Amino acid sequence: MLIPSFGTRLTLFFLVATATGISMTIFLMQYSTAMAMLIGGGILGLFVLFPMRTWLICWLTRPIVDLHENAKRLIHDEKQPLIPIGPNDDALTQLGQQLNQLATRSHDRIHALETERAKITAILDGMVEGVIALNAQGHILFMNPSARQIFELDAAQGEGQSLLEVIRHRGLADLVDQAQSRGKDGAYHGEIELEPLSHRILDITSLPVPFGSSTKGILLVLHDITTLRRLERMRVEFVANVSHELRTPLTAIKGYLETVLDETAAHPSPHRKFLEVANTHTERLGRLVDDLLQLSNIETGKVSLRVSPVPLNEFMNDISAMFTKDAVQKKVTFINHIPVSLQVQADRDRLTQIFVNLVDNALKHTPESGTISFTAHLEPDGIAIIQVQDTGQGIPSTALPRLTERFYRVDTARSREQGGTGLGLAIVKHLVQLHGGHLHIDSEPNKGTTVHVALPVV
Amino acid sequence: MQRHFDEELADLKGKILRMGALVEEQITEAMKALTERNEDLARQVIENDKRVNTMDVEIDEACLEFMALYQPAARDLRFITTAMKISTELERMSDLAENICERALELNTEPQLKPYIDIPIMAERAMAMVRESLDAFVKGDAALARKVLGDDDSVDDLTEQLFRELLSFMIETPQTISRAIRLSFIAKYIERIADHATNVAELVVYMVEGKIIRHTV
Repeated sequence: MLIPSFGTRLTLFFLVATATGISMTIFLMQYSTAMAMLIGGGILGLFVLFPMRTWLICWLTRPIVDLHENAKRLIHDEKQPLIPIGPNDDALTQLGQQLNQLATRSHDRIHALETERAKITAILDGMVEGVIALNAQGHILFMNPSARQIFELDAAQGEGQSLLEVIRHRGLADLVDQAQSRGKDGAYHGEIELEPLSHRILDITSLPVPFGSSTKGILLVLHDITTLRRLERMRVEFVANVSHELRTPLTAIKGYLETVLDETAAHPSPHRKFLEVANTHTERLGRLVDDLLQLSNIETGKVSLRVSPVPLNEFMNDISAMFTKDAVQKKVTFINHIPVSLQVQADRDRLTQIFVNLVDNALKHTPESGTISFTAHLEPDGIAIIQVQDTGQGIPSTALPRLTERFYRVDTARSREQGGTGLGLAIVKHLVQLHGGHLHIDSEPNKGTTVHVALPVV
Repeated sequence: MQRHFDEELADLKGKILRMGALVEEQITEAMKALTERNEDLARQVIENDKRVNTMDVEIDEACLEFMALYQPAARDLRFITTAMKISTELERMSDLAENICERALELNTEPQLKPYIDIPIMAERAMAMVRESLDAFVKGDAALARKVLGDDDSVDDLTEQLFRELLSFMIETPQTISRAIRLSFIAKYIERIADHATNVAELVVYMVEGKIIRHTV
C-alpha cells in the first residue's frame, strides 16, 4: 500500500475542504429559502461535515502520533526495533531517521559503558588485595569483596557509611588521617595489626585520588600479610632454637678437644695435627652459632639498648687501638678526621660491635701500606653520618645490594679462608637499625670502599 | 546552618568512635601484656592512657560547644548528652586497662602463679560487651544494647569463681598471697570494664528510645 507523505496529506486536506465548501454553496443555491438553508446546513454539518472533519484530522495527524508512539517505545524498551521509516523523504521521515540515529548511538554508548564497568568490577572483585575508596569526609565510596572478607563484613555494610562506623580500628583511622593530612603528596605506606578486630596483619598503601572533578578521596589498598609475618616469625624462632640447641654439644666438644690438645702438647704426634684442625673448625662453628643467636635475638627484639652520649673521635681511637697489632703487621695506617665535639646517642657496647666489624672488614681487604680513614659530619636533620673509608680492593657494584644478606660472600673461597662467618654485616645492619639509623655502602673496584653509618645525635 | 549542624554531629560521632577504638585496643593490649608478660607493652598501655584522657576532654568540650552554639532538641540533645557520658565511661575503661598493666608489671617480678585460663575468658567476654555496646551506639540499635545488659552476669559469675580459686591458693600457700591478691584485683578490673560496657549500653537505649533504664534492670 502506498502511504501518502505528510505533505500530500496536507494538500489533500485542503482539496477536500475546498470541494466541500463548493458543493455546499451549490446545494444552498438550489434550495435558497432561509428555512431550508438552516435545516440543510444543520443536516449537512451534523452528518457529513463533522465526521469528515474528525476523520480528516485523524488521517492528517496519524504519522505524528505513530512517530510519538514509536519514540516512546524506544525510550522505555531497549530491545525495541527502531522506528519504521517510510519511503517518503519529508520532514517527519527525517525526524524519524534522526531519532533512530540518536537511539542507536546512545545504545552503543550505554553498551560500551556497561562492558567497561563489567570489566572493572570483574577486576576489582577478582583481586586478592582489598580495595577501599573513601571520600574526603572519610565515607566509604566503594569496597571490593576482598576488603569485606578481610574485615569480615557482610554486603549490607560498607558503601555510604563512614569508615570508623564500619571498621572501628585505631590504627586504620590514624593511617587514613595521615593520608588525608598529606594531601596530594603521593602514596603513604603502613603496616597495621588488626587486633582487637582479628589476628590479621595488613600492609596498607593509601593514595590520594580524585573521584570525578570535584571530589577528592583516598584509595586504600590492603594486602593481608598475616601468613608472611607468621612464617617470618617461625623462621626467626627456628634459627634461635637451633643455634641454642647447637651450642651445648659444641661446648662439650670444644672442652674435650682442648683437654686432649693440652695433654698432647708435650709430645707431638701426627694425631695432634688432626686435633688442631678439629679445634679450629669447632671455634669457627662456635662463632657461627654465636652470630646466628645474636642476629635472631636482635630480630625478636630481645636486645635492648642502654643509650648514652658517645664522643665519636675518642671512640674511634679506641676502636683503631684494638687493631694496632694487625695494622702494624700489614703497614696499614688509621687516620681519624672526626670532629672532637661530635657525639651520638648510642649503646657503647653495640656501637663497638658495629665498628669492630667494619674496621675488621676494612683491614682484611686493604692491601699493604694502605690507609683506613674515619670521617663524620652532622646532617641538618640531627643525624650524624660516620664514614669508614679504606683503600682496599673494593666491591663490584653488582654485589653491593646483597652485602648485608646473611651468608652472602663476594668472594666465597677467600672470605671463608679469612675466618668470617658471613653474618658480620647482617648484624651491623640490624644493630644500626636498632639505633634508629641506617647503613649505606659505596665502593669502587680497586679504589676502595666507604661505609656510611647514619646515627641519631639526640 | 543545617549542613554545619549535621556535619558537626557526624564529626562528634567520629570522635567517640575513635576513642572507642583506642580503648578497645588498650584493653586488648593490657590483656596481652599480662598473659605474655610483656613489660614494654604494659608500659605502652600506661602511656597511651594519656591519649585517651586528652580525647575525653576534647569530646566534652566539643559537646559543650555544640550545645551552646545550636541549642539542640529532642533526639540531638539526647545524642549529645549520651556522647558526653559515653566518653567518661570509655575513659574509665582505659584507666582500668592501665591498672591491669600496673598490676601486670608488679606480677612480673615473681614467677607466674598459675596458667591464666579464666582471666582471658573474662576479658574476652568483657571485650565483646564493649565492642557490642559501641556497635549498638553506631547503629542506634537498642535491641543489641539490651543484649549487652544481659551478658554482664556471666562476667560477674566468673569473677566470683576466680576469687574462690585464688582464695584456696592463698590458704594453702601463703607465699602466693601477694600474687593472688594482684590477680584478684585484675579480675575485679575486668569486671568493672564489663560494668562500664553495660553503662554504655544503657546510655544507648536512652539515646534511641528516650527511656532511662539505669538502676532499673
